[in-house]
Amino acid sequence: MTDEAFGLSIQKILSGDKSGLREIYDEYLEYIYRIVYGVVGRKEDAEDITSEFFIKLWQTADNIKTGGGHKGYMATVARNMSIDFLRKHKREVLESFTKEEEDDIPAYEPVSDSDTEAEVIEEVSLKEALKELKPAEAQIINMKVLSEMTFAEISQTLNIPMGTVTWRYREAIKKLRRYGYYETT
Amino acid sequence: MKQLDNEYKKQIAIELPDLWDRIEAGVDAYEASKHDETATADTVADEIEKTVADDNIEATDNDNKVVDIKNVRRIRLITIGKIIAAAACIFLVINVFRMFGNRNFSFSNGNSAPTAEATDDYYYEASAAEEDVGSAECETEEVCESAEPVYEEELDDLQEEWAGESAALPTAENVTIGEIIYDLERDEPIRDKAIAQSVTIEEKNIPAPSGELLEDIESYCECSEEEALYLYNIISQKGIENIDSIVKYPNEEDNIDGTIGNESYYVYTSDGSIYKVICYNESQPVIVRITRL
Repeated sequence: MTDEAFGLSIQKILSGDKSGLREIYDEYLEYIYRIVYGVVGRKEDAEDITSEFFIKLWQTADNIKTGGGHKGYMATVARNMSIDFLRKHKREVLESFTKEEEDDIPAYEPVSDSDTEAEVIEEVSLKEALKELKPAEAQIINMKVLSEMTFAEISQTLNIPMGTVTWRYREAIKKLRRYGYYETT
Repeated sequence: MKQLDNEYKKQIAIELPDLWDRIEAGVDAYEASKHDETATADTVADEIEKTVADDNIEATDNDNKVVDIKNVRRIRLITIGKIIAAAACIFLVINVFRMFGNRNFSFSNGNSAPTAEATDDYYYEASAAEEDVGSAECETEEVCESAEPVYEEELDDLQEEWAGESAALPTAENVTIGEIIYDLERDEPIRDKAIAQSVTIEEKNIPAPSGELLEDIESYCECSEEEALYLYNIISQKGIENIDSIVKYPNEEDNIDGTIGNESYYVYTSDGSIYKVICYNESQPVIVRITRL
């Protein structure tokens, strides 16, 4: 969606026409949902926050500056809303992660590098491959890949050292490579 | 080999929920609540109109004569107004006499309290001089000249006193914003009062951001990526949520500690709040002062 088209949609919203919001929704639902899901990591929460994002867009349409970088603006707002949510529910989320980590038994068997190249399992879906990750690793992959967050942001959002973030990310990528997935960036 | 980014995004797209009904319901609820607020405001306005209209009703007095309530109220108001005006005049006259009484005392007795005699003498002299000066029948210049210095000296004395009082008051250039008194010329809080009165939050040992930074933060922030990221984190840690934008203010050359290198920002949140954030970069550890405006 161009800035002009976005501006027109906002004008419609300001005049009370829901079709303006619908246009933005159709265009950006996936984008916003992906960013939110990447941060909160739970489908139900992501749906709540995404809905809230579009309602907020309607409510604050008169404050939105149109004409430059609207996509980046929306991404930042969505990310901030998600981080706020994560902070509000920090204890609950962290407890669930800790518990999962305690109970977590790696399902994959470590194999040597020479075997890795040969034993790429093409048929395994990404969903199944992600299940092999520890919750903390999966969260970092989500934030990095879906929400397009930087390591510094992830570090500050999760309140863990950046070295830990990068280490966990590399560990996760190593595991995913075994299932034929490789990172592009 | 499959590309992780693309595969993951594809999967999210497949599982994408339809949220439109929820969003539409939320929008409708918001509009309904807005409508209710407007309706409440209209009801209040109607009530006010009705009350005003009631002023025009007629009532009967003790003699069962129909009278206009509005007229009765007007008459009462005029009476009350007269009483208040009379009281104000009396108050004014008393104060004028007191003021002149104090002047007389200061000429004659220095810092001690005025006596009744001194006050009476002064009134006598002043009224006598006034009569002489004001009279068209002033016969000699001596009488007129002796009366004038009394008034001039008194006026000078009053002016000096007022000048002293006004010097003790804050200058007209200071203005209070929120809980901080700002000096408009320097655009910075006045030192002592700002420290004492402002709502301050101090952060110690804040680690400077390092590594990768936000790529698209410039789209909503008019300061650099690094600053924005840094600020966002320290501000949100203090419970300020729903940050819409952060605007960097021109660098304040001198801060309250006399050091150089402060950075000021205005943080706007979606609920309409504005916070002023000053980072005292030169202090070690860095002090961040957040003030709600």
